[in-house]
Amino acid sequence: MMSHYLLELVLWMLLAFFIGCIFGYLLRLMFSEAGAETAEPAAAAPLKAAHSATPMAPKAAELAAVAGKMERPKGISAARGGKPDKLQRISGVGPKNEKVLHNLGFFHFDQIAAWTAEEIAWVDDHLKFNGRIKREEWTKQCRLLAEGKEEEFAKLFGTGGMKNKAGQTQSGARTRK
Amino acid sequence: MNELFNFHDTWIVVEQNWWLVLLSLALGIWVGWTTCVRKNNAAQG
Repeated sequence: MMSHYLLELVLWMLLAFFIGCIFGYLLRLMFSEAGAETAEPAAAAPLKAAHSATPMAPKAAELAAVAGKMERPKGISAARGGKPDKLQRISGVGPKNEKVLHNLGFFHFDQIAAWTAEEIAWVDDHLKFNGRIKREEWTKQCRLLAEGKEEEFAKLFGTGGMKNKAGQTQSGARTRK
Repeated sequence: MNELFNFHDTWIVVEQNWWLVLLSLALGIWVGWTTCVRKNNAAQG
């Protein structure tokens, strides 16, 4: 009889323990989510800056500095005149990223060349690029391409998928990681 | 055997040892809470 009593007690305690575990876990999850939402803008910058203690630190830190005030760049619904630029010429942009950029409303080099630091931060964050846009100098590449400075572009970034003098296709992979 | 699984008057056990059940509940909450923290930290690292 006593063992029965003890067994029941242990079962009740176990039940309470498990309910407590679930409750505590959910409670913590709820609080941490609420905390992360409010604290993230302030906490993200030092965290990102701390993580970027690499040779690329200045650019990543710069990106982290504007990460708090990200701004979505304004895209357009369709390419002007129905003819998009070949965004794959940008070193670091392949067919997949070109499609992503199209979906975001970017079809032309001059659009990307006009991105501000806040807009770069937004796109970088949105596409989870971890500083690639800055690192690969997309805006500089696009400015050169938009202005038609092919020679300078080729010198700095390769031919970006265009044929070189020998007739070979050369990808602009200088900065590609 | 039947007696072992007779939980008909089991609520009396809880009433008599409510502090033990409450203690287990508190312990469970603490374990759940800390487990969740550890998981979050691991995810960040």
